[in-house]
Amino acid sequence: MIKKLLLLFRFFFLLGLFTFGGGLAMLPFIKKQAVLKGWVEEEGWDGLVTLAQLSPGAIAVNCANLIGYQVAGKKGSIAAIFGMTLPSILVILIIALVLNDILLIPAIAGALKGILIAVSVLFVYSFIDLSKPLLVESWLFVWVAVTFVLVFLNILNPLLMMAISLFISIIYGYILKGYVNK
Amino acid sequence: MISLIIQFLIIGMLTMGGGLVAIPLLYQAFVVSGKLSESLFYSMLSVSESTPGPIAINLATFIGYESFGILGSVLATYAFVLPSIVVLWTLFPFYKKFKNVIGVKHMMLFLKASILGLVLITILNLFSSIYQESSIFVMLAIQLFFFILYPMIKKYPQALLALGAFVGALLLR
Repeated sequence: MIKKLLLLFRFFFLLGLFTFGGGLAMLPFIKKQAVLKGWVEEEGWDGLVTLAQLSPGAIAVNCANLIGYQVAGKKGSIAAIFGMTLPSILVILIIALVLNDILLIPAIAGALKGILIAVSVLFVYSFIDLSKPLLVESWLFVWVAVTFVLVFLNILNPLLMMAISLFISIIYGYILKGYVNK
Repeated sequence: MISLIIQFLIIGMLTMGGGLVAIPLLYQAFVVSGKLSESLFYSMLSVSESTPGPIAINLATFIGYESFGILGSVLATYAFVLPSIVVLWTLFPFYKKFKNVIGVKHMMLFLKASILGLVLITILNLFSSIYQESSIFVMLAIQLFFFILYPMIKKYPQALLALGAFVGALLLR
């Protein structure tokens, strides 16, 4: 048992330490390794990822959670999550300790500005990717506009907006599912 | 410190559809409320994007540290993760059923629409922050260049971040 937990911890620790670019970039690699190690059956993977994406939180952490659970129950899921998040905490803490000082170095401050420009470009492309599934049901762009106006004008807190949308989504899903079953 | 934990629990619960959504939620909770300056928040975002690990986790650690030091960073990170642990432990027994349900993807349509609206706001805030800089034309030129470049290197977003750091260190100092 302890050996299993250590293996889980080590795998996700290394993953957290060496993968850049967020959760979605990690998925193909996690799948390959988890199947190879016999942690997950190939057929089970799609269900696992769907669940990871539907649940709150970061997708990579959710995958770690589910794979850990699959291998060794709740203890396994905690070992995997701890492994996945520990590198972030260590790396960010080291940077956070010196951030205020290194921001005074012009080249570093400039580099961070340059990265921010790259981030803004990445976000625009993420926006385009995220809008593709909605093109099938284009009337939903009304809801995009509603969200935008209400939150941008500070009428509604984005947290409340997400909660309302989650609620409507679930109700709508039930109605639609009932419809399909008929 | 308790209010910090509660805030991260709520944000962790409502970050649906990936870590990107955490950014507007954290922006609202910490920048709009005046606890963090906008420029510090964006410095954190730049670092979080270009260090390993999930971006939302990196940001949570960073904001936690700024608020209450090392203890704050650990508490914020695990408060952010906790709701997803509870939800997934509850749902795990049913996960095999999720595979072929058509309804599941439809279920989240309104949520996806709201996520898109929030991402749009994030982009606008980010743009307005970038254009406040004195060297606005240099910024615009770099941004345009990245826009054209990115589709060619789409498989390696890290390369764009690295290039951003390099160009920024040379031109935006």
